[in-house]
Amino acid sequence: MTAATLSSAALLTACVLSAAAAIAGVFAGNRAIRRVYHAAMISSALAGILGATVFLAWRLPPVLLGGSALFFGAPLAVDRLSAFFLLLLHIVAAMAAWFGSRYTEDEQRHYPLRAVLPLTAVFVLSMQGVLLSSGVAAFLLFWEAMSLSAFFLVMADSEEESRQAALLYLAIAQFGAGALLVGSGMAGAGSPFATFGTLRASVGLLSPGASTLALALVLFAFASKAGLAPFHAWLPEAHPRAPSHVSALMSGAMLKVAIYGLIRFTSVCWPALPAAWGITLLVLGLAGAVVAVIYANIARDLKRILAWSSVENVGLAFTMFGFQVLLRRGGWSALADLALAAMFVHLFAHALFKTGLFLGAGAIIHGTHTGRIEMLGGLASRMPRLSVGALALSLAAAALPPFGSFVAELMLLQSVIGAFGTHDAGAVVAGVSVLVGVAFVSGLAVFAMVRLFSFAFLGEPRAAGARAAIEPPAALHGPVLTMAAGVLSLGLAFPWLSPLVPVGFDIPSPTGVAASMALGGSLPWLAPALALAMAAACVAAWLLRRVLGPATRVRRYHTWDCGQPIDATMEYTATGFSAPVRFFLRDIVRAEKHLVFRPVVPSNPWIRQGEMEFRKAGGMLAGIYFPIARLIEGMGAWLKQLQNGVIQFYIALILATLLLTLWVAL
Amino acid sequence: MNPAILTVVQTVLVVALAPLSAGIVRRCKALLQGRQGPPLLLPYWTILTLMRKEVVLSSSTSWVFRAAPFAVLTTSLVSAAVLPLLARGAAAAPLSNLLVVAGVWMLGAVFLVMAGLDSASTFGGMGASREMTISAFLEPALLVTFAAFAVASGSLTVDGMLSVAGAGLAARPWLLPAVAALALVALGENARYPVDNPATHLELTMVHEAMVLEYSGPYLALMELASMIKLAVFALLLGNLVVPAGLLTPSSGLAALAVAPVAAFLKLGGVMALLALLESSMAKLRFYGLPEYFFGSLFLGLTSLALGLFAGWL
Repeated sequence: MTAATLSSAALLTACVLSAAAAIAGVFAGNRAIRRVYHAAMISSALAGILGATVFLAWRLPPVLLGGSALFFGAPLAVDRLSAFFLLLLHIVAAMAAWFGSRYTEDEQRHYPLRAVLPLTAVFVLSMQGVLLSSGVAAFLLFWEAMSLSAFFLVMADSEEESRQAALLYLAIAQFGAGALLVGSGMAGAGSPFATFGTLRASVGLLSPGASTLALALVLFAFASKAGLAPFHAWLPEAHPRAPSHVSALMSGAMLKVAIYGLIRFTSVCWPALPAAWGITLLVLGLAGAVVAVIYANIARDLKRILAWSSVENVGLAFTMFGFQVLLRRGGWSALADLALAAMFVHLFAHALFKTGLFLGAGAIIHGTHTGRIEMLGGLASRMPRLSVGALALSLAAAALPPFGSFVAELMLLQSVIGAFGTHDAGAVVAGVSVLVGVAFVSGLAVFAMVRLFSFAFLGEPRAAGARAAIEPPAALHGPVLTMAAGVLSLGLAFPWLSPLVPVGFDIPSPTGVAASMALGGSLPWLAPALALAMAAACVAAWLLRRVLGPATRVRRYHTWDCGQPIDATMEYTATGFSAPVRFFLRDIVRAEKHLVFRPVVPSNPWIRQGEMEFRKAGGMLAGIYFPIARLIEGMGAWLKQLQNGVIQFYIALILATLLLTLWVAL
Repeated sequence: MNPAILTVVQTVLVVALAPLSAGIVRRCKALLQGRQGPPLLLPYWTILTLMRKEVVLSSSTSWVFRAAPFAVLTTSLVSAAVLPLLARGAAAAPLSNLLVVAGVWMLGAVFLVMAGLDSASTFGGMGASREMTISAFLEPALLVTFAAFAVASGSLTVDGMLSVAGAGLAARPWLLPAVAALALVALGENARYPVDNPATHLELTMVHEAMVLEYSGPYLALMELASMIKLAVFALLLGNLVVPAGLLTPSSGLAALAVAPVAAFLKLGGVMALLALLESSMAKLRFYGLPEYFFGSLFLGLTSLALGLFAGWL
């Protein structure tokens, strides 16, 4: 069996298995069938990992998977770009399925099995479909299935807040899908059955204005799905509401599928993106990342912090993409390739650590019945294994060495410094903005992730739920540890993994990966070498301790309390911990503070009762989204006047329409 | 001399000199304040005594609290090994990539912060919050400053950046704001004036001391040693940027091996005397006055970077 047949057979098997799981999930009432379902989900993901890995490792040329009668004349196909995202998707799906096999059983009361199980399978299947489609129609079909299954999953617990979040998500997803439909329709010269092969030719026939409009629509569709600011408002609402393993799929995989769509459409239709679009994406990405990382420091719910961190990371990915566009326009292909490779590595690392963190959050909520960070604490001694995984994942999310996310930042920095050497005004200014912006964001990202880990796991438990917590079962902490190991090995084994990065796949590049890696010189080796140095230094530190002093007695005593017994209520809170961020950046995070004082006795104004209300200002949702919603509602109300119940008026309208149509047609 | 030996020699000497540098700064401060001051070698005795003492562990703490001293010391040792402090072109020099160095320092700060929060004491939390703020907001200044040196020297490693030190600085006066920015970052990263008061006895104003408040015995010794090493590393780095003399290289002979520790001692002494002068002549900033400090150092670094990029055009 050749590598190509093995790869395509494995990928087809993955799709068939998740389709089978979707059907099995409908009969979720039966315990035996549920076992079959979980087995099918896990083996589907493993088959997908196998297929994508073989495809990437053997450097196969594009392969067709299925007949062309299905999927509107465009067969399922895989190339290096989609194989990279398929690998990422299936790793996330494998962890979600492993975690879900236990989590869904335990959380039946919150998340009804007969809804969650089949919808999760459909969700995975539709993401597989999006990545495998080679034609616009199939792509749109799976895209819609992905949006809709995610919509139902967000409101699976049928709470009012979840329903609102899901509706907000649905509205933005449908706006995006509409834009994608129109944009790809324009690009495909009106034919919905265009394949990516024919799309390139038909875009060339468009007038410049029409081509730009189509590009803007397509970019809007993918950017809104990926959560690029200012289209991100749905993300921190919707992602935390879904069951935790679905949150992991949404943040870990679905956002990446949206970025895949962006790269696929732009590389096929607009291989040379104008510099203005590069600047737009860079600025939006960076601004979004800055705002999101600040909110990640303010949010007080585990999964909400993680969702804001996803917005931040997507912003960074778009920054890298925009920077890459600018460099390519300037003719610095090697630097552009490096920035693009940095984006791919960043996306991969983000998929790993965000999946792990969402699953970890799920395990915490499962064990303590709360996701509110102010109600947690002390879990490191109660859930030691989970805490090791969560610590590693938090450090990875903070892009600290030697994790995979750190390697991505190294590559970006390398391309930024390279851009300084070009003496091209545009590249230099963009480089300085990226440097300062990314440094600012990464500093605050460390803050947010340290806060997330510390207030969940360290100190004294702040509520009964956390006090009674015990280590979650293996199926709940296993995926977390696996992802921690994964994102660590992405950094440590990067010299061997870097050839998997699909740079130079379709965008014409004279240099390719090898050259851009050579530009980095020893870059891929930095993380493993540093890990080695840290291991040596750790041994040295331990020896120093042993040589300088004997093994001493350890006495347990309570924390120093100044003679006054202390308890968990006197601990620093997560809100207090990030107060400096809120205060220093109060021009960005506006807060509303209402103070009302009432004198207790009318005659004495000094003895008074006070009430203080403090909340963050409405932000994007109130500033931009609600006015648009009000506008649409107003238009609807105005149009409703047509529906006045007078049948003669309706007939007159029909006649007018008929005449207008005839006039236009003739 | 073998580059690997250079790395080992440098690390050992920096670790050995680190407590002395803490002693120098205390002694200089005492002299400036008209006191006699503690003996120069007291920090060595402090560490050795602490190493033999009993450990009192707070019952609120977890494994993170016990791992943190080793993690913090590890990051200090790594920065002592990779940066060009006593030797250039050593085996570990390629690891002194600016982002790696910034990342390693940040990793140390992260473990310190976690240790502070793990003690479940309000003082620990307060110190942790402040330390995290300082580290997070100094990150852009640090990276931009290093980037200015990278543009000047054409090298991404701090080791290579030393090619513009000393006479190179005089030839490129636009780098001077970057040196100033690095000095500001160094003060912040090491919890010295005007960001933190290392000699305070008032918990409410503490940053670094508040986080290590719950440590005792050998754990405290490791934490103290780590912060002394970090101080020495920054002092030697700044000293080498201004006076890059007396550094070992792979081509230097055994005679240089005798010169290098003396040169390092002189640089440490000079920087520590300046630090003592600074700490005796100004007050600590209000914590909520620190944004000006952070953004001031960032803009100093940016000025250098912009001027450097502009100079590249001419």
